Amino acid sequence: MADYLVRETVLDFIECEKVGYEISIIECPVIVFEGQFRNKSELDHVCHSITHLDVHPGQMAASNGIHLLRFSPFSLYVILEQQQPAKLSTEHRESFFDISHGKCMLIIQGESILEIIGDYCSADISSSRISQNQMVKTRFIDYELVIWWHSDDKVNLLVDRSYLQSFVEFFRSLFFRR
Amino acid sequence: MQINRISSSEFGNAIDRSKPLEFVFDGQKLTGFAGDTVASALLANNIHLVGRSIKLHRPRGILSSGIEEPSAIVECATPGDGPVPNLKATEVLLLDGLVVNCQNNWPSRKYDAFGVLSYGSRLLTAGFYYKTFLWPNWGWHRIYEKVIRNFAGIGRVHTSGSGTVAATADKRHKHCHILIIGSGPAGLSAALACSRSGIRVVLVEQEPNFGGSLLWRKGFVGEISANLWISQAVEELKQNPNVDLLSHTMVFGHYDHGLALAYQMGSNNDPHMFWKIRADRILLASGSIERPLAFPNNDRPGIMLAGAVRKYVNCYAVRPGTKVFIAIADETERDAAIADCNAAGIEVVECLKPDQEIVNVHGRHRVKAVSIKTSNSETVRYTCDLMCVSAGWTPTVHLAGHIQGKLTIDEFMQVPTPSNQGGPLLSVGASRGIFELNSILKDGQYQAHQAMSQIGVIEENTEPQPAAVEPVNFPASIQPVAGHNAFVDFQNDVTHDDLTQTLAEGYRDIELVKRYTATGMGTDQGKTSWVNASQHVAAAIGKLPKALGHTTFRPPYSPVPFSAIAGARIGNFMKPIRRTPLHQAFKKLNCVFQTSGDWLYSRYFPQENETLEQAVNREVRTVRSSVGFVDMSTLGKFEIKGPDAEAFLTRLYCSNVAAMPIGKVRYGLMLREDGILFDDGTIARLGDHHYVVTATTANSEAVWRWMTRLAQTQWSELNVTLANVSEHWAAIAIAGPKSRDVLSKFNFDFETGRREFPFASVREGVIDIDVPCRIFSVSYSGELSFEVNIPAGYANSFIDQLLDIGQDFGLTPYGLETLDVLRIEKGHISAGREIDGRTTPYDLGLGKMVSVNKDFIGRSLLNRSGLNSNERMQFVGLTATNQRSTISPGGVLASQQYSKHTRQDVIGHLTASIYSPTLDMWIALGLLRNGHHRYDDTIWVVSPIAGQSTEVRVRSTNFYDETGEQLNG
Repeated sequence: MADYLVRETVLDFIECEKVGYEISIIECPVIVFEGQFRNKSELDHVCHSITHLDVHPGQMAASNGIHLLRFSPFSLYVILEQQQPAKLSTEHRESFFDISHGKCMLIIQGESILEIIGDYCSADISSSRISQNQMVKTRFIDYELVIWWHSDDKVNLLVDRSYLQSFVEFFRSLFFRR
Repeated sequence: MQINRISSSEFGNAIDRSKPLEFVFDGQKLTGFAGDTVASALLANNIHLVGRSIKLHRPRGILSSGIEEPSAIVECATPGDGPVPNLKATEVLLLDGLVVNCQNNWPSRKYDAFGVLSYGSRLLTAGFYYKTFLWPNWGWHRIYEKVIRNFAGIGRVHTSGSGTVAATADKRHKHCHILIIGSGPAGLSAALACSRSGIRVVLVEQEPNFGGSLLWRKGFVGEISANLWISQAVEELKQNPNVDLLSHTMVFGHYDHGLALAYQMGSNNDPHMFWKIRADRILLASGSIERPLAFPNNDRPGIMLAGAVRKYVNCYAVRPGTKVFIAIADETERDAAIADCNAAGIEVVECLKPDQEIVNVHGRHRVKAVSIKTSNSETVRYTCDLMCVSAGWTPTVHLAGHIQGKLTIDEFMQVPTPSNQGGPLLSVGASRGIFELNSILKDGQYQAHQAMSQIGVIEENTEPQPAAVEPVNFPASIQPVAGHNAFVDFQNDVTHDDLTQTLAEGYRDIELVKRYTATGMGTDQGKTSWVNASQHVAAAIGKLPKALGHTTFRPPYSPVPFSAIAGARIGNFMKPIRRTPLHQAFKKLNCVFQTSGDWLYSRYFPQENETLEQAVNREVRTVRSSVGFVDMSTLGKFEIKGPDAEAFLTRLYCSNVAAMPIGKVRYGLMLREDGILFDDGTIARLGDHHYVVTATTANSEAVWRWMTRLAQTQWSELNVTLANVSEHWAAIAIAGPKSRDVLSKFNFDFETGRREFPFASVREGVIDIDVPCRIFSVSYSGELSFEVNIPAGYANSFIDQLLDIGQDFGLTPYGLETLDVLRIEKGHISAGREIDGRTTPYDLGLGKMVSVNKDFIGRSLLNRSGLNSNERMQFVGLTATNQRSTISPGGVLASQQYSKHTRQDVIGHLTASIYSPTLDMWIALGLLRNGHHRYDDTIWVVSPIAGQSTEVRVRSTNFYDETGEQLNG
């Protein structure tokens, strides 16, 4: 028996290889807070206080290991690569919910991986608005995903934990069909 | 030897003569070229007879050159894969090693034994099957059905293939500003106009080569040849990164908001592809389809559409015959066909004149001669081996019909055209009745600019609009000839006589005519037949085709392989599978899993060689006597925060929520607006303005949607925020008399004694110093029970600790089967069984849970007298009067024993029945009419399928621990 409880990931590191092409999928434990606000300006203020940037609905901002994904005027995800609870000010803590263990973050790397993922998404990832924002919440065939990226060859995904294993297996099967 | 192949390189822009291919047709080795279709290769090898018709087994050849083909239906096996039936020889590209077989014949296509049916064609008229096989009664099941099933349909699905296509087919999305369907002159002209404005364009062509009818009509565009214009246009489009060119891709469905579905036929190197294309605007440049003429024996091999003959000559360098008789309605088309035949060395023996009639075609397996009745009633016979026929062209409007409903029937041309140009789809060129080349090119540009102006790419469409309709001279000069074996629908063997008889029998609505005769059905979907049929019907009943209307167009436009529709979603990937946080831990415990909805759920945990029954009985007894644990992670878990959280929950639940102390848990019922029970769960208060509620696994998503909708739309004045934390928390219920002892061994930062942590409480704290946890003392099993919620990532580690601690207490894991037994013994309700979309809290004996002091969703309608009647089905328990008897699952409740000859008066139904290891007898739950007032009555559980009945006694639903002492430990 372990002396203390240990946080475990769902997957191990995965590599898929086809002739002349390969991708890697890595699961990264992250801290995710879901913020729900009733007032747009309040959320504007929160975004600014965390990242010192203006983050509009549909946009993503990254600063000091914090990713802020704003889906709508009233909701956002704050993703921390390490535990940094102090970043969420006390006055707004009521509006945040810890959903860290319900979401799994994947980093998928490979040549033109964004384009490959885009082929299966209902959202138009190559549209000017989304490619400018570099973030989208969309449906990947049957899976709900949040996707954000800084380059076309490396994409971050947030998947519901219960779907993760199934998603990765399905993604691999799609990759081998290409 | 391809004896019909034209050697001159002036012909054959679709084939690559440097790449010869070998294929097999009906066991015969043949050759063709890359770029050939099966049809063109067969014709090159002088094979016209390629199949037998569905009903009469008449010899059939190749009528057309595209997906409209009704007759040349074959089975093809690509190298390395199994055979695929019912493919059109005109759309399958030739591959090296392709094996093609003709269908619907025995023992061979030339000497088909069932060809004898054609001699009885006067008996096998439209709808004959509605009037025959009526007696004797027993004959239907014993004889007729078997015989008919053997004859019905064409082609056979083989399951022995290697599945290469299924393993490679893929399904992807595309997005664009403008989707252009068809790459003929209209499509290319539109594509050039759109691409030059820099927007994203997808151009789809169903044939392997771009160019549409220009490829075989040849001619000039401006001052350059059509072929050169096509190659320049395609090259320009290929150079544009914003343009996607998809060849051999058929758009088969058009749906709301600019969604089009397309199927791209794969090849050796590329997978079959199913495209979901979303476009701001769709330009339908699908051209038109040629119609055959009706005359006696017009289905003989060697009778071909004029456009098809020209295409085989010009694109495939194939000479389909040596002597041709021409019957083409339009004069310009006739002249062009004659010119092409002459150029290819085909002798034109005669052309049908407007005052003449074709009275017969001679030759069974191939046209040998045609008999013509002249204006002075003489019959003249012309020897020929090919007939070129054309009654005119029908705009290809199917995709417009998918979404825009009814089409307009043009009064002059008597063909359908799209009703309006206002929606997301704009028709272009021939698909809207424009047939002259220059007008088509102008229309392509005009509609492209129209689409761009509609989506704001350009401010205004300044292009000149060509005339809406510039019809060529349509077929008034040649009339169809009625008579025996004058076919209207070749695929379904529907003749002019069949249509006439159908009208005589009273079927006059075009939809009824279609269904009675099968005209327009099948793999070709009547592309060559339905306009001819509707014109005949209209003329016969004295209506204009416009007044008659048309049948409904539905996707798919042409058949699509199931493998493409499924894509990668086959086998284990049919649908997503959700795994709980305990999945890995349970695998180590030899768990047998089962799917329940999307979830892969633990069913039971067999030890050694235990059966399901033995394992469940052991698990139940252990929980009742000691302690067990079960995965409850699939329950919905929702947090509600804010000053108005209590008000929100008060409105949402019909049970009382007010004045709940912090740290307490209540059972809650949620109703639909119509007063019917929606879901049940627990409500726990964690803080002043902080609650967490649960929903059943089955209704979790629906409850969450309902809650968010209410908060955002109907009760937006309430200051609450909601979060779905179902995935964040793993939930493990530890149940049994020793569960508190087990709990006490963990390192929590709060007390777990009976006094500090009584039933119906919640405690929030940490375990092992810093791991957050929430524990709810609630029970579904009827035993003392604690639901431990910990962050999902710690779940497996927690189970390791739990198993270690539990060793001293005889702890066992248990699954869904045991959970169900425990809840039935306790008489608890379950979503999907008792919460079935028809029951109210009163029906289920939960009336006391309904608050009378507040308003809540469903209150008004719950008070309808009908929902409070004693005649409603009410929740009861049932035990067999003979304690050794079993109670058939799925049985109905009746007043009398089952009898084969007596109609049962059904008074209710079972919702659950199990063997109870605790009580050592079968027990059941059910919904019984007026059940709450029938305790101690004896009734019957009847299973008409099993032919069994069991006498049962009605009682309360709680079979175990009626006083509830176990809950408090």
